Amino acid sequence: MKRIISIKNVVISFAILLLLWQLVSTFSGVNPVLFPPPVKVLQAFRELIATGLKGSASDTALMGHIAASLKRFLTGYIASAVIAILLGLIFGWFPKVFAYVNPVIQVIRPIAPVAWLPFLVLLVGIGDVPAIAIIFIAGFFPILLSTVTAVKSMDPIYLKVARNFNLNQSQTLRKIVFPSVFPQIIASLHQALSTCWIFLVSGEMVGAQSGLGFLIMDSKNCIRADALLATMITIGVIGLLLDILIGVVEKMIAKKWGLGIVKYVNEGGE
Amino acid sequence: MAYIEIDHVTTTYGNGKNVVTALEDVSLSIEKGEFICLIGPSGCGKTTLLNAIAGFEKISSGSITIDGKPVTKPRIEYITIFQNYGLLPWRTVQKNVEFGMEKRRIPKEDRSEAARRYIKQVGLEGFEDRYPHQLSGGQQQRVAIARALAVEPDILFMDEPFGALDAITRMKLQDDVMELSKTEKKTIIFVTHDIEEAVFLADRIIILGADPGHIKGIATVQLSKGHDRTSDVFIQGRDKVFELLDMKHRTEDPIEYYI
Repeated sequence: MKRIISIKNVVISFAILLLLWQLVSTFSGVNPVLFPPPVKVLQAFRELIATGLKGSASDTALMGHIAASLKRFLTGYIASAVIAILLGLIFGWFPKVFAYVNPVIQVIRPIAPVAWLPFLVLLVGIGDVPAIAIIFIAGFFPILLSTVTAVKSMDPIYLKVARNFNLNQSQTLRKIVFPSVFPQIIASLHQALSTCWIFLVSGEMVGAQSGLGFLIMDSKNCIRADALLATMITIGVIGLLLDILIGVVEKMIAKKWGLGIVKYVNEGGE
Repeated sequence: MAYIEIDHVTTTYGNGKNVVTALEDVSLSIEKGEFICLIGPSGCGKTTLLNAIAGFEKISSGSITIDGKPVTKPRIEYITIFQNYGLLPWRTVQKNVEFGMEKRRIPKEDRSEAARRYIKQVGLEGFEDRYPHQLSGGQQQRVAIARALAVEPDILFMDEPFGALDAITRMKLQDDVMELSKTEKKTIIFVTHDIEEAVFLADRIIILGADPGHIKGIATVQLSKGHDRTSDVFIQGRDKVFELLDMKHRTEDPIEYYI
């Protein structure tokens, strides 16, 4: 029942959006080349899928750009997740070390990932690296800091159990600390995923020769607002799909860990 | 020298001006196989004493030895059972019970077979693949007991293990722990604030007083084990402990009673 209502909601909300869009483009008098109606965008979408953007610097079709973007995205995102989680576990475990690292992090963290771009371009030139680096930076600090916080605030009883059963430090980190903070790590991975996807596009808008960010700049250069909007919609849909995907994983883990679930109690108390 | 020797132990926490003494000059000898209950009002340091013997808490002065060796850190030979169970929520019942055995180089099949045996012993056969959150409080505490037994410890420390359970479940688990102490002959040190629980379970009840924590009295329970909770002798014993707990003035040496 719930599912039916949500499908109904989605259909109506998009129907209204399309209607408004059509009305504005018909009656506003804005040049349809600059503000194309939905049908034009759909056509551009077909063109992008079939042949790629006509007159473009690249002859890659839409799927190719998506693949290029996803490749960069996954590289940057996975690298930042792995490194941030490992460092987060270590810094959370050794708070005295973290006390020395934290001031630097607090200064670097507020710098918008895009602000790194010019610096990175000067340093390594244009291409894949700046885009991947931006994704890395966008994901790194949120994951690192929530991992540190989760480790610092973990239930001390798990550590007591670890000490009682004579686990050494590496066993404690692997068997106790990591699994006990894993639900919080997953939550931060979820959050970082959306942020990283947002910054991927900015990363690709500078100097990349493929990818959705490149396609946006390319459409602008060809004065193809219809292709531009089609690309924007593609970015939105893929971002949403990624979000749903990690949301499913997050739920599965929460269920296994017994979080947010009504406690099952046998009849008769025991 | 007794199996567990607690000799003039004082513990403090905090530092500088805010030093608080939790236990002051506590001495106690415990024999192998004894069932000891520590009882007293909150703030009497009964959990502190338990944690000190178990090696979780450092003592400021005095000494604690088990089997002649000074206690410096928690050991796998002495397992603590906590009030909130301390189970690992990401592991199934089976894997929780196997947890302690992973440390030893036991082949995987033997490990899981042993775990099943202990799960059966605490009456949870058929629950092997459940996660802790799918069990009731009493069942969770049974898993914790099975996990402890699986490493074949010499001593069980139990810190108000049944404090969060309802009365009927509590009585059932008391029966089971009693049975355990008889058949496995483990030394058990059990913290509780429930007088009846102490009289029912203990060979000796250590009554602690607060501000700072000290031993007020020791009641040796001479009632036959597994006694009826409603019998006259049981009720008399219970009243005696209550009297001791209630006693205001502090004597130089702990008062010794037989109930």
